[in-house]
Amino acid sequence: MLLALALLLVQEGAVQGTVRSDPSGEPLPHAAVVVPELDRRVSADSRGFYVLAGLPAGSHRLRVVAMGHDTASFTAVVPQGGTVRMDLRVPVRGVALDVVEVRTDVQHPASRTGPGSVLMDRAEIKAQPALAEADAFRAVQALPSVAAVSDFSSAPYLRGSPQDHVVLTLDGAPLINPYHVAGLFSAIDPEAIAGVEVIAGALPADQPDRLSGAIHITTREGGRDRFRTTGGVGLVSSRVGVDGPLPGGGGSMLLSVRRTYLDAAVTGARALGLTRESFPYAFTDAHLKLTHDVGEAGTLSVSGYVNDERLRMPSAWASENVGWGWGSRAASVRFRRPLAERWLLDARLGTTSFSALLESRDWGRPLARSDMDNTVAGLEAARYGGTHRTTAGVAAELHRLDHDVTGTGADETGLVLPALQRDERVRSLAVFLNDEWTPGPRFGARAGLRILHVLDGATVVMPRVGARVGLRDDLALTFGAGRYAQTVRSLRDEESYVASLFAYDLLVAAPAAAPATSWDVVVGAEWTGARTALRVEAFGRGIDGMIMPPLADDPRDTPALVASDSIVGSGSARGVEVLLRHQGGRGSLMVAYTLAHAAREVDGTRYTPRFNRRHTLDATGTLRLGERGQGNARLAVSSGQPFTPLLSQHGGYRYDPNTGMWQPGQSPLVYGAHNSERLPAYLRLDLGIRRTYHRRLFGGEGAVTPYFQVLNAIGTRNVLWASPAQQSGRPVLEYGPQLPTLPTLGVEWRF
Amino acid sequence: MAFLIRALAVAAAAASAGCLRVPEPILPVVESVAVHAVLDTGGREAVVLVTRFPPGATQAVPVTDAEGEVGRGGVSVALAADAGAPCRFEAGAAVASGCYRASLAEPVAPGDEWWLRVTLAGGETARGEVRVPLAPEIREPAGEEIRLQFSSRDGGTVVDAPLRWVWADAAARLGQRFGPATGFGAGAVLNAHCHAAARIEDAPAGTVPPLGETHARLLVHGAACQAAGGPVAWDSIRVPLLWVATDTAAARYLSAAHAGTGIRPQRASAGLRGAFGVFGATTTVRRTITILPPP
Repeated sequence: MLLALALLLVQEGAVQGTVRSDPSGEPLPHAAVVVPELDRRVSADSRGFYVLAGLPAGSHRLRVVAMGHDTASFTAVVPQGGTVRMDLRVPVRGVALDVVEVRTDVQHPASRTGPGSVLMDRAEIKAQPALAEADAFRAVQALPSVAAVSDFSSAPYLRGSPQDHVVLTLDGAPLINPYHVAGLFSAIDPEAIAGVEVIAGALPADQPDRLSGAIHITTREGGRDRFRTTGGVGLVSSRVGVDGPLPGGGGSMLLSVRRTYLDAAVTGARALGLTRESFPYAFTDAHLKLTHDVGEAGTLSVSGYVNDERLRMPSAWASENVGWGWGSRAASVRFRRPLAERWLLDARLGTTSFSALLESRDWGRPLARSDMDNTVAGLEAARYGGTHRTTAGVAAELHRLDHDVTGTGADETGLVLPALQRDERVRSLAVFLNDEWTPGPRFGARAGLRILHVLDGATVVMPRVGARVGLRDDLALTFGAGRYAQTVRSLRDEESYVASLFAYDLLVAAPAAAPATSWDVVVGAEWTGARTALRVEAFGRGIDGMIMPPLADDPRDTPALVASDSIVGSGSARGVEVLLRHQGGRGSLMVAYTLAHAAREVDGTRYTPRFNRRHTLDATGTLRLGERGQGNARLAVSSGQPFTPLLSQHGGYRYDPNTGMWQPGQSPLVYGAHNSERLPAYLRLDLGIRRTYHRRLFGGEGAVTPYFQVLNAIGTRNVLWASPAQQSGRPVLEYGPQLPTLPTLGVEWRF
Repeated sequence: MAFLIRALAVAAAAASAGCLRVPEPILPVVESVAVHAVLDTGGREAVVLVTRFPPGATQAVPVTDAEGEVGRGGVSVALAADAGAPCRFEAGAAVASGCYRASLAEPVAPGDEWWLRVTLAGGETARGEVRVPLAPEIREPAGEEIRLQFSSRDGGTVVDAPLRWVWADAAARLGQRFGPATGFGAGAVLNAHCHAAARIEDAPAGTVPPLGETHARLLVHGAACQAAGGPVAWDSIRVPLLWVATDTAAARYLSAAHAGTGIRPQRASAGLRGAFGVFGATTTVRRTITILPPP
């Protein structure tokens, strides 16, 4: 028996390689590689790398499914006990128009062994009507797990957690505050993005240490066949990108740059003597990626990202000449190489920083300065066995968090900055081991362990499990659970109105001896048809050891930042999420529904956080209009966010023990329980239309795509906050507005 | 360009305003009743203010038909309405107070536990309890008076004296403050407004009294007396220095209730159930600082 088993193992072989787009040669993240006659299927990773191990020796037909590409078939001849390398080039579908396509079989890449992540590719991101231009973070907010705190912030909130509980990465490098205009836009050029993966819960053991989830952005590597350029001009900014092969072949590059242009135009006009004014605001972001083959199957990639913003208030607007500059940087180096026949080595070094400086020429010194950086070095080795994929890795992380803020009192804008001097280092080391076991097409399970050690602090042991059981070929149940920890925290007070307007986090160290920890449990069901995929998940999450601010006596006085470390609170979230994706003959539809409960408990008071919406329905549709056009719509309907109602008014008096006399008070408003009522429901319809014209440009085939879109097309008066106030001595409820109707237009090109 | 910038700002504001809901008048859903009473150590009278705030009103209105009692243990005294009285409001305060008084059989003493009941005509009842805080032990200055005198270069009087005391009641929130200064000349009280520029430094702040002996410094940077005709010569100025122990709940109420325009319900009452307001107690220890002019 053992001899027969040994012979069988010797006779088994493997196929490995990279799934690439044809003709560009760019890797296709998360493509599905299927061996139909064996009912075997694997998902390529974020770099398109796949391994089909445990195949019987002989000839096999491989079928590859990837978003935006035709399904392609290949024949692999598997040697006895050996591995054959095959790069699978899949022909792209369409050449100029970004077509939104639902491929129900490839958009849940991690679902073989547990609750899956969700993918959005560039076409899906660009198809959503957006504020001025496409935005990856706003696009993923159409998914059921991800929410926005307001129309003005693109920061992703995940299953009852704010953004600082979510790790954001760009090509493996962590990101800090990757936003423009206080969070109105994300600072990642959509044209550079290959795909966005959202892992909302039940994180596998290889995921970075955050309390809630992960959003990984993978950028394109660039075409290997020829140079291409892309560009666009919108209402806010213009962008240009170029990608193509590296000299000598064997690699590719991608460069994209985006910048506002109104300030530059005004500067030009001033140079010509047409004006003496200047425009106060500008942003720039740029992304560069170089990828080169190393040996037969290895790749080395270097990725860099810069985001810079400047704001200088004109003297006519401010009593002081105030300037504010801020921005973030990220860079990563990643080396991947198959070792032996079934091993993959993945080494990465990523670093990111965010710095901000608020200064006044009149003061002669900075009013506020913040410098944060985060460096991660990681090494992973994965072994692809016949039914097992085992991954082990280690990651060392350093946070340097330096803040020096001269405190400002409350002013008429309600912005309050506490005095803050902190200069901290957080060093941690994490090791993990994860095994995925897929003995058959209908069952998969994973078990992992991650251990996080904070230098001079605690060691947290975090088990992670997941499973998937197929009831039928098209129906499966999923389960996942895990424990998580986080070594840093944000000073943002999510109960502040300001948190709805500014997406930036100021990070500080969590207590090293007792970092915040969380757990979650996810159960789900997935049904996958030929044109439709339906996923339902229920989740529960608990968070302990969160440093939280005390609740302000008056919610309107809640400061934007709270420097206090003294209060430890807890949180919880639970809910049900439904995601439906459907591909029709002329278009596609994605419907997401979320029922979400979230709670915080601090100082004996339990309340719903201000960012929570109980019910959210998000529907995104695209419709082909003729051969060259595409219409897009997004409808968002949700419950209002919580607010603290007015309960009563109170004729309070002041007592002077010196004299034993009373003095009249101010008749303050008395609030009810914190966040115990809801704002009016939210409704927003965004519409967009784009049409592509093919032209010969610079000697090559090109495409020009003008677009027009309207946000809040029906002009709903959505509410950002409701605040009791007194007008002429009588209480009224004042409302803060969300986005008004906002038409935008622009044009894109590629050739 | 400035025009363009302002036009953009105006357009943005107009667009936002177009999307803005107009403020909606709201009525507080609950008519509030407020009871205010603070017992002072050594006092023989309890004064209780009862008001209500109807929905839609712009100020509190007095409640004149309530009844109630204040007591210690099983012994109580009925509250008697004193309609129209200023009811321990400072002169000039235009307040209709809903004033009730009760003469106590014995003076309020530190450590006593008192209770209060106020019942409105409609049957609503407010009940409160308070424990009178213990008096702090003042260790320095040791006597009833201190006399310190230094001459500053500008001819003013400078006092820099150490203060030491021990709070006796960890459940009380306490503070130090100055009473009104009194000037003396030729052996008699001056008919003038006398003022000492004084402050206490290094005294710990916070809601929890520090354990053990507390140290601070009394600083007096100057003193003067002023009458209608101008400065008045003075022989000495006496400034009461008060250590006020207030029960913690009342102290929080008295500081929070007027800090802003809105408060939480749990901060809108202290020592009371069934009404907003406060039922508190204070114990005050005084020392008099006598300031002498430079020789």
